[in-house]
Amino acid sequence: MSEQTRAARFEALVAPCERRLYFTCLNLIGKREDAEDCAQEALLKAYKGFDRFRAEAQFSTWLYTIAVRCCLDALRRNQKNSVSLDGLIDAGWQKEDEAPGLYEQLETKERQELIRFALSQLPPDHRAALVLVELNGFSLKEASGMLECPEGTVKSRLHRGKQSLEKIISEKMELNSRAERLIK
Amino acid sequence: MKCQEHENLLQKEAQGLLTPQEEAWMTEHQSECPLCKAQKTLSEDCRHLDEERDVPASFSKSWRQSIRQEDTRMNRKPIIRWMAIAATFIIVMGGTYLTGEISRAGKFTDLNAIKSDYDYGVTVMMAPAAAPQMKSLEQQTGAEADDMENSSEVKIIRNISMALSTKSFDRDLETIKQELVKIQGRIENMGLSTENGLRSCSLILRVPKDKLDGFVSLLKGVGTQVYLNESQQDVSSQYRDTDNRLKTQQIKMQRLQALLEKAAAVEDLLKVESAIADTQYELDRLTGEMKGLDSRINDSTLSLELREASTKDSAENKDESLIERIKLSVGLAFKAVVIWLGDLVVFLSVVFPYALVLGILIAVPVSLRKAKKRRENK
Repeated sequence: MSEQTRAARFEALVAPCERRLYFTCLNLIGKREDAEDCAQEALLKAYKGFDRFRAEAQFSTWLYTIAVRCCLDALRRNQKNSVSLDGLIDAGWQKEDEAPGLYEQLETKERQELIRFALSQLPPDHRAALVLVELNGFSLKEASGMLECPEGTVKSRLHRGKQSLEKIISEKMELNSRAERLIK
Repeated sequence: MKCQEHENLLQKEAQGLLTPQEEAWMTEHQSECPLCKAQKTLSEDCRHLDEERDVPASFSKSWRQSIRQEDTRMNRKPIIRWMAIAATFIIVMGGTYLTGEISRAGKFTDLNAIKSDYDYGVTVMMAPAAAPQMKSLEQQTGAEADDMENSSEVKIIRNISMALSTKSFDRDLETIKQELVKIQGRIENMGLSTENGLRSCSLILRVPKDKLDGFVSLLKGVGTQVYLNESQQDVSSQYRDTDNRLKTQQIKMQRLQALLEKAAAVEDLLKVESAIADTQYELDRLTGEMKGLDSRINDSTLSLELREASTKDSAENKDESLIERIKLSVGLAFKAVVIWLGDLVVFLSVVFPYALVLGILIAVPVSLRKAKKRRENK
């Protein structure tokens, strides 16, 4: 297999999953530049190990596995002290009673922004489980392979991740509405 | 309970595994439970989070570019890698061989031996007795006087006697001859005798002095050593004296030849010619003596007696069994490997400090360059 053919073959296999790969990295990392770096690193790693790739495994799963590992490594390397709502609550901010239906009343774009924000607040492991299963629709088995942990662990991370996500979203909504009232 | 069930079905829905009945049940539950409805919306939002967004063109371009660069790098890499492997192999093998040769010749421990390798012709010494007569010539050879320092050279004649006992007489004798040829030695004398059906070979070998120790070590591996005796004779002063006398005679000859050209009377001519003949005789004798000394210094004498150990390998029963031959060969090979490994360890120990310094000198600029590149990329 000549090098040109090898590169072309690799590109052809990556093309259908490029979008999903990019957004998986973006949702895991949060920051665009860092996510691009991770996705590129993953693609380069995959290309270097392309000869070792066996057709028994699905190419996309293999590629996502590499990407998820790159992202988790990057997250562990640069664990930042992001602004946490817990911090605000600890500082004395009180959450009002939940108003069911408030979330659905928001615009789709606003809701998406809220989800992205909430995702960025989650611990890396919970975030990874959510991104893979909830956002990308991978099964628990596939996700457990990618995250190198048992299915039960993925399930519990997913459950706790969802709970945290909902909590962060509702708290953020509360904070936003208070801020709006103050401005008015 | 219903809410828990709803959550489980949400999971199923995310993977597209929901049945129509389950879907209908979920819709019904959501109309009763606003929290589950919100959960469903959240789940759907998660699934469609990035639908309206596009992958930046810069990303698509950059990873493809990286792969092309990697291709170029990989195309270059095998040649460089193989060259590096070949170079390392050559250095390690060559270095190990040289280390073995040098250490066996004793050059690591006896640096003076290297100095003593000078040819006697380089050393010029003026005999005190000839000094008054040869003053003018002494001035001519003023530069050569610096070589006086070389007079401190140690000239040693080494003689070794050893006896070996062997079960494979013919093969070992052949091995000795072959190894001797390899180190440019020669057989000066060889005698073969048989007693009680066992053969014995007496050899007088001349071995280059720097190869003697290595050759003796090798012989120890060929057969079983019965005895070994080494003697060293310091002939430095004899060598210097002979050399001085030779130089004096050479200068005397030059002077006499000059006188012969100037002599006019027949009587003078006869006297000078007679003196020239005497001087020539002395010159020849001293030159021969010097050559003899040189030969004995440069080529050590090794008196070797190779004795046949048993009738197994005797003249009557020459054929060795295959197993015997394999055993002996494996033994020899094992010894050779042990010696080689020893040489390798010595070589690596010698090379390690240099390799460490070289590694640091290479690693520092390379890592600085990489860091700079990383910063530029960022």
